[in-house]
Amino acid sequence: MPEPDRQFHTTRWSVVLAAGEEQPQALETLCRAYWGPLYAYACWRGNTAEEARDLTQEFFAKLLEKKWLDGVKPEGGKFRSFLLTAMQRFLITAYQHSIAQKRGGGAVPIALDEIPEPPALGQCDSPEAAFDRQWARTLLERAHGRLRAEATLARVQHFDMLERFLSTEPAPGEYEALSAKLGLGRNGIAAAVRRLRLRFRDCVRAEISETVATPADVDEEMRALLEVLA
Amino acid sequence: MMNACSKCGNELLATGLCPSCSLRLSLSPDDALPDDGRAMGNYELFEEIGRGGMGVVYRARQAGLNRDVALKMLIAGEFASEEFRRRFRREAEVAARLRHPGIVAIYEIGEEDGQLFYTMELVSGRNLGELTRGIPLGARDAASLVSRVADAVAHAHSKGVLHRDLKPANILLDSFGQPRVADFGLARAEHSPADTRSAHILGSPPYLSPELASGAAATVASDVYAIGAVLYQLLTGRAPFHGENVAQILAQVRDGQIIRPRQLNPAIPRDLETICLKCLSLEPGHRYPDVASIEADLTRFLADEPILAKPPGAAGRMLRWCRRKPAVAALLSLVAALIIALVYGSLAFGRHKAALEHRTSLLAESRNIRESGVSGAQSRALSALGEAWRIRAGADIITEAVASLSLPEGRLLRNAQMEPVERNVSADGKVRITYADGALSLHDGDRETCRFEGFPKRPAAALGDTGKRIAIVRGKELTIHDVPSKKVLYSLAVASRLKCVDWSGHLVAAGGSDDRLIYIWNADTGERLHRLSGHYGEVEGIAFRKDGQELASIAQDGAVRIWHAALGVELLRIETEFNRKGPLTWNADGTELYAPRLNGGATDVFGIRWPRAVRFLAPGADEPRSENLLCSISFSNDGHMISSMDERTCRVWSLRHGRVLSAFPKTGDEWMTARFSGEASLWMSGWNRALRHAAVTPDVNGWNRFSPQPQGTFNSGPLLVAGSRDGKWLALTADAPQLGNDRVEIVSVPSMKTMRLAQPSPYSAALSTDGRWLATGSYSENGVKIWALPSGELHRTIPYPGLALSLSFSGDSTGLWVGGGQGLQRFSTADWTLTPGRPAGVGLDSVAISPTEDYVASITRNEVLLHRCADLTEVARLPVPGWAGRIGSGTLAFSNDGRQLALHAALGAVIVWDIPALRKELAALGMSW
Repeated sequence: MPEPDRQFHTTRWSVVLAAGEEQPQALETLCRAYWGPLYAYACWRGNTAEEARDLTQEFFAKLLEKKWLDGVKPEGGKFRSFLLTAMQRFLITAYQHSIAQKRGGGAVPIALDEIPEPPALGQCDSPEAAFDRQWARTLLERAHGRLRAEATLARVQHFDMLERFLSTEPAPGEYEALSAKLGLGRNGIAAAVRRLRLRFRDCVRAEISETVATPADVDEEMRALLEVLA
Repeated sequence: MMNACSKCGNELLATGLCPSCSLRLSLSPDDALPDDGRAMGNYELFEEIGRGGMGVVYRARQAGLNRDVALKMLIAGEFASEEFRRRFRREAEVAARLRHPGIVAIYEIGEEDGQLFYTMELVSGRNLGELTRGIPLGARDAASLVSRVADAVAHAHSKGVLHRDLKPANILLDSFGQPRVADFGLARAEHSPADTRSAHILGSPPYLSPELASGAAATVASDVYAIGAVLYQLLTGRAPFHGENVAQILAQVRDGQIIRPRQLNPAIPRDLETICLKCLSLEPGHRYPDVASIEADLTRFLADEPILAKPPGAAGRMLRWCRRKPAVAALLSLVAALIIALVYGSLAFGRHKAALEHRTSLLAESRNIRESGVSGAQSRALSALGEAWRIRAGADIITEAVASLSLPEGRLLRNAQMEPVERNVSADGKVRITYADGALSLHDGDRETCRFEGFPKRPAAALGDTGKRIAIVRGKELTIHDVPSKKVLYSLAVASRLKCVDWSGHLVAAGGSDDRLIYIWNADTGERLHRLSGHYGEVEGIAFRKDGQELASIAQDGAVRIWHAALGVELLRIETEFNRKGPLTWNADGTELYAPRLNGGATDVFGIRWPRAVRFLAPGADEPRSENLLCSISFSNDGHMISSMDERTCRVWSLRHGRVLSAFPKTGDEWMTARFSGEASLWMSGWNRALRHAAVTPDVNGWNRFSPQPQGTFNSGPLLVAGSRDGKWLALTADAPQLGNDRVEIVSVPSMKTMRLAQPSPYSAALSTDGRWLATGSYSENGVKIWALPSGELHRTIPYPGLALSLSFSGDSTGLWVGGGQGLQRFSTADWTLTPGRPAGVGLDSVAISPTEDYVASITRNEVLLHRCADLTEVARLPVPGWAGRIGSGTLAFSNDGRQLALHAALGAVIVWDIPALRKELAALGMSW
């Protein structure tokens, strides 16, 4: 496993920033990953699911044309803040003029099968909070996906049965019950769960490291996530 | 459906994991090892026994002493932010200073590998929250528990420590059932500098005092309040405030709208309720001066002595007590006089604040009354608002007043000996229905045009506006027939027998028997639009407001209800004790409703006062606004009609009548914009279809008629964005496949001669009223181009610093308003310079400027904002009720005379305010902007 710090050699956001010029593939992959939070933000701004989807698509279309990256400075920091600010500006100025349709239907930057269910807005009290929350959720979802992929690759035993303990604690006697099923001692199960959680934390850090500019920002962002989700 | 984490309530991820818990556990992976002998300093950790906002508590054993303790540490461990660590340490230090049998004792504060922790006495029993979940305690038990809690908190106060987060879950019961106050998690020494400068509200919302909820600092009074809240929960089984989310609860806390405990549990002794409510007084000065006084009053209650707290209006009880104990009473009255003097002094200090709090509660009260939707609510709500206005005028009160004035009001006027007869004439007065010999006949003048036979009893039936269609109730079915062919256009089946029917414009409504529902259909398409539920008895009669979309109904439950049939919402409910029967009828101008009683033959006459300054129009079924936001709505020159362009239909609304006049359905997206231009013309255009024209002809009944199909095939593709008032010019934007061909086209009517004016990425255009100028704006280039008419020459480019997304000339053609990313600016048409003395303004969304240059209108999520044109200061916010649908990025338009403002909301509803009428109504209430 690479050390967290080593991952910065390939961090996409920092590459994009450092290059200061086109890194279309890296940026597009990042954008694709964080479509959801922007969509949540657009929904919160009073758009229908369909409008929000179109706005988000248009936003990426513009973003990927690269014009908005010119002014970004590496010390500018987090990809999360950058995207949010850019989206705020976009929604204010772009005024929902349908540019994609203008020339008879432009290219769609991110392929979508259907319009995602708009996020529940009741939990947050501002569009920015909705964005941050959705961001944190997306990031954890990706971290979990990463952990799964690793587990599959590494043939981690009983991953499917242990996975749920990533977010729940064992009820009294639950490990004991599993122990019969898995043929592991209860301490063995506990140790496996612990390893899984530690590995999950690394996955979260790895995901975060793709969206911040320096290793020092990772811990700060991790705390921010914890507070956003609290 | 949202799946929530059973532990923290967060919505689960698609993978089934809780995002919050998984992150927390990843930061404290050792929780996986509940009893593996994990150690923290001198302690061996066992299972988790509690978890709060920032800390997790374990059962632990202290080596050496061999005693069981509770060990609390930060959830985030070494990842905790400095602020968290500081708070955590402070909490421990503060709690460690307290020694009292009613307070959980702190043993030790420590740190191990960067992980802060402290240990405390292990209290084995349940907490009060668990004890009382939904189940009230006996009054004496509750009083006794709370008096002990008060005693403990009084001790903390005497040491200068406030608790700040008292709640049932923080009060543990020891093995003897005695309460122990724990978790001074938010406690802070009274005199230490506040470190909660930010907007963070610490504490638990349902138990927070109003002043804490408003962000003020904690005081003894806020702990007094919290103790009252705990007593409330013990007595009633529920917290004083409930809400779906924190914001809602906090709003209620601040408003202080509390349900009296005895309303929830009549078994509660009155004195105990009084003690509880005194603690929960909205104003800190009305509460007990300190916690010890609560304890003292509770002790009196338990000893069956009179308490000191007085319920409002309980002077009599005090008097009785004085008679019984004259000596004590004399002494007490001296003390009382002193207290009164003190309280009076402090009140003078806080009177202003109290008045403002009262204003806030009046505002909340008015909102609650309005939302009750019952007869009389409007006047009560408005009177509360009037009082609030007298305390301090403000836009918030106007907004709430406008919300109230947007609803109808109604009351019983009188009882009349009359027998209403069912309306049996079409809206245009031409066709009449009669029933004889088992047949329903339609007559045009004296001539019978059509005959439906086979009805042993007269069926409920209603005619379309012009008598060319009829709806007849046949058991569980409503059939709509063409007249005179009798062809069945639609058979609309429902689950239960229908009893009554009425028809207005494109809406047909029928009321059911067993299911007590009212069904609304689109008469043109047969589509069912709404099922209105609310009546408790069979629906006996329904009647549309004359020509409108509002519908009245009566049922055997005695209630009279007024609905907006197109929006599918109840607007007003008038409860009466008399069972009713049909038919229900209106007087000629729709201000009186005749509702017969079931027994007795008398008819009650209800007066209905419709909103005078706002009108709600809706397509019936949600239909998104046209995708092009420009010109999705426009007023006719005389202000009597509005055109709106939605996804599937272009509609023309009559504002005199309050409903659809004409609808032009689209088969694709051929029409995207529509505008009135000139006296009798509606123009439509779209990217894929040509510019079309529909002529308007007023008919003898005062209705306008449109040519059935829009006429003409002119140049196709461009979008119509502006039309001159005199009808001579139309301006269209053409986005060409090549940027170089982008243009604005200006069409001269009636010759249809077209000039092409080069404008890259054209977006907006405006024509001056005097016919001299055309202004155009782009979505890719800053600035505004000014073209001279009729020559079509480029006159100049005005240096607006951003994209000119909205353009409008003043009604007198002296000014051009430009709006967009760089705010709103006014240019003088004399020399095209910025009009001096007008601030550049702020960025506003979906702006409209009144032609008289009185107001700038713009939208927020749920309101229309009005700014004064002169200085761009905000003057009013017009609320858009949730039932009218979301505003989204709605379109706004003013009528030519600047009196009416229309909003085209996201799902097709059109809301029209008559601004002078609104100001007049507000003036009658003593309010103004």
